[in-house]
Amino acid sequence: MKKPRKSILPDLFQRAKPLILDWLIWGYISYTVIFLLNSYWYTQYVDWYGTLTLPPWGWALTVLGTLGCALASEYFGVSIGLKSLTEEETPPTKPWVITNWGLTSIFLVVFTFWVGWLTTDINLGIIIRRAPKTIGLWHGLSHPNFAHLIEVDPEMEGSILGSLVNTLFMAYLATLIGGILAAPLGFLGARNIMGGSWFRRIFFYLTRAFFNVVRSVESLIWAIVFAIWLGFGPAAGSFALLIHSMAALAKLFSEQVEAIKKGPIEAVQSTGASFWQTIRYGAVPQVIPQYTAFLLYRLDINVRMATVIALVGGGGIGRFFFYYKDQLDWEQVGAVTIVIAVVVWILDWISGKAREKIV
Amino acid sequence: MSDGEEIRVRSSWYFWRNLLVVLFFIGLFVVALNRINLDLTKLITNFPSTLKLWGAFAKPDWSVLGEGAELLVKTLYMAFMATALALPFAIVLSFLGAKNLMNSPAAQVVYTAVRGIASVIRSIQPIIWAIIFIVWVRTGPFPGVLALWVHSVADMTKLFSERVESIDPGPLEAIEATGAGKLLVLVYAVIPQIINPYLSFTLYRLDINVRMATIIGIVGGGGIGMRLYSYINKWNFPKAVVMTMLIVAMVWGIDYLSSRLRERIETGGGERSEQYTI
Amino acid sequence: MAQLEISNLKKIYPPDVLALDDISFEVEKGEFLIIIGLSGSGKSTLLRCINRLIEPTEGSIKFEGREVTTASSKELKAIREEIGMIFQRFNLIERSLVLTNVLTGQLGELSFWRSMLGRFPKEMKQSAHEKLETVGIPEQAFKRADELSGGQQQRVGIARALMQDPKLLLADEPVSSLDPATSGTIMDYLAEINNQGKTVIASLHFLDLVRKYGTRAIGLKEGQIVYDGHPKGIDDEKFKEVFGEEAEKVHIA
Repeated sequence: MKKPRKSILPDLFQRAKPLILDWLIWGYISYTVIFLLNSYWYTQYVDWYGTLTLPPWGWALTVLGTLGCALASEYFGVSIGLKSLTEEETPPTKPWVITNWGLTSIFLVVFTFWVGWLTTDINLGIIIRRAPKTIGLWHGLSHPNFAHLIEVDPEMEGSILGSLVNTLFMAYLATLIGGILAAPLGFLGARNIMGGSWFRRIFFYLTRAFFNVVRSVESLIWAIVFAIWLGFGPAAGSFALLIHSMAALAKLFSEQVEAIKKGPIEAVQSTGASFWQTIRYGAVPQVIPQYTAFLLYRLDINVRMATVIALVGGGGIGRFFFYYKDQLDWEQVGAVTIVIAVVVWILDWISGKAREKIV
Repeated sequence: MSDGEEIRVRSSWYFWRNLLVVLFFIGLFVVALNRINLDLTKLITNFPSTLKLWGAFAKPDWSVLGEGAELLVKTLYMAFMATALALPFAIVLSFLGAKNLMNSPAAQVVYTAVRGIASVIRSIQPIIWAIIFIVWVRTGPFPGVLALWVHSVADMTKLFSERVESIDPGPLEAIEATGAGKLLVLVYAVIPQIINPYLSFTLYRLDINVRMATIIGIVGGGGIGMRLYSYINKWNFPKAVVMTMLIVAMVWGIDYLSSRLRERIETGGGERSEQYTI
Repeated sequence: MAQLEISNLKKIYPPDVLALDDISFEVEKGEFLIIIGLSGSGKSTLLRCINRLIEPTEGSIKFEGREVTTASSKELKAIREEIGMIFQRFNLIERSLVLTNVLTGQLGELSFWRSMLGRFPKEMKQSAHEKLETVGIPEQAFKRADELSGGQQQRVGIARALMQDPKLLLADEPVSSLDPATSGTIMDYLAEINNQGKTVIASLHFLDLVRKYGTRAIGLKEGQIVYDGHPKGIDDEKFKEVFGEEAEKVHIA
């Protein structure tokens, strides 16, 4: 008999929510203080990169300080977090914006927006002031030079279209191989198949962790790793796309496996079929359609990524883009951009139509 | 044809046709492999050149943790700002780009223009947009935000307008029948049906923007990507590894939050799948 | 020796839901046993314990002398091959062809590789086709299963069970998802199968069908047997006992 284990994490989390909220609010308040200090008095530690820095011990102090304030406000009963989250369900006559939770959320969103605006150096004035610098760029984009579309560019050892074919193949290989590898992984990462013995559960958590980590690193970063490993070129790019695709597909696929219906599986089981036969006839037909849709979706993404993966040495049509850009040859940059846009657009359209048919 | 023969022919056809499809994909695979030359043996023979990299995982340089954390926050803000700024534009454009709302001849033109331009903009990766904006406003997080913003508006417009096109026409008809103007129809028939999906798509887009923001620094778009890339170029792997770990933590975290929130929105409660063993 | 012997069967769903409480009865070969009771009385659980789709908590189930509850996986497969089952929601593989669905009935007899590749022998395919003819829908063989109506899908389910040439047929609320007219047709098929000597155990909740088709009825209430005898023996008082005070009779036959 299997006893389900009830995790205490959700309940713990419920209790921690007001504290986290308070901490966030105090964090924002202290950010304002630091920001003002930076702007008007304490400019000693401002570096070229950002407007907001503190001496090394400053961040640790801030984090601890805000935590302390948050804990204190709960102790003294002035916690906004607590007030917002544990409000009684008032009769619906009170508009959401007036409730504690409403006000707090609005405050947080507005504050985040303001902090974001400052942190990311948004400066609309620069857009207007530096507009003239972009004239060369726009001129190039609107008068594209397709000289090396079919003719080989000696410096690049290839033509744009040739490189385009390579790019598409890179994406194809990555999607196909990644897809094949992801199929078994998807099963290993599905809760409903991996329940039961200790052994299976460990495998499940390991698999899940594996694909979450690999998925969190974008293909471009993987390409850097593979460029070091295999040298620059489409092989590096392909492997990078492959490994990311495998992890992403495995996750999507495992979600599908978790959602399969018990019924058909019971039915096949009841006829005396073996384990593998049950999977093949009861489970697999339920997931294949969505899986194919995911493959198409992934192919689309991989093609997009493959167009720029040359940035870090991954080969493909991006080579031309970055090379001409470095030469400030905007007319040819325009040509490459148009080719990329057209190809990606066509593929996106095909992918969309094909996926419509599956569902 | 007798029934028996019918079965034989049909089963035969299905088998051979499926085989043909498989052969097609294999053929494409072979041609691609030919051109790309995925040398698995090279993975093994060249392995030594990556030892420095893997070695750095054993001894990461934690001194850059503070700097990395600050950049991480900045990257997160970049993604947030891009999404938040894109949202209002995408919402408005989504109505202009929805077939079922734009039915007069003049509106059809607007519809085609909106969807067409959005499609083209979407086809161009944020990295490429980032380069354009870097030329415009110089390196830093700002061009990154702009690049993500442009791409987000286009992508969200597409997602949103597709959703509007698949709403239930019932309430639309009902309110139009009362003689209400276009705007009222929008507010009372369309909006209630799309609030949840739009929220869900926004979270989805935020997730994507966070991922993009981590790499947009490589071209100069600011954020943690920039620092990561500079460390790698200097072959300073211990520091690069710390940056990577921070990226993994953030992306995983946001991905998880985004998925859970979207699950809650879609099911309003949610149920876990049954557990059973085969 | 009876074909099916159930002794002290108990099933508890964690944490503390008692679905079956010390059930014991025997079924002879060739009976048409109908199990009645409200939803949640344990009908489904009971049927699924017989072929061990659900693991019993306690008790013994003997099918033709073989103990089901402790059977090894090999023995269990052999037992299951002799027990066919049809379900309330048909449980067909929706995106597969009707013919494929029927063929899955005999997967147990196919070698590993043949079954993985889907290479069913000619004779098996012929047999599957014949089963479809028996249930009256040979022309649907190459349609996708979800294109069929409810009644037709259930008939495919029956065909699938027939492929096994089972000694015992379990039917878990086979007509609950169907309209009254179609229900009758399905029950007729079950009766026909029973006439050919196969034991049928079906769970239902319409009394009229019980009276019309069954040779024996067992009433379940909250996991316990409250009636075991001829269907005609369920008079109004017994009826209220099985279905509860508030129940009213509904006529569908």
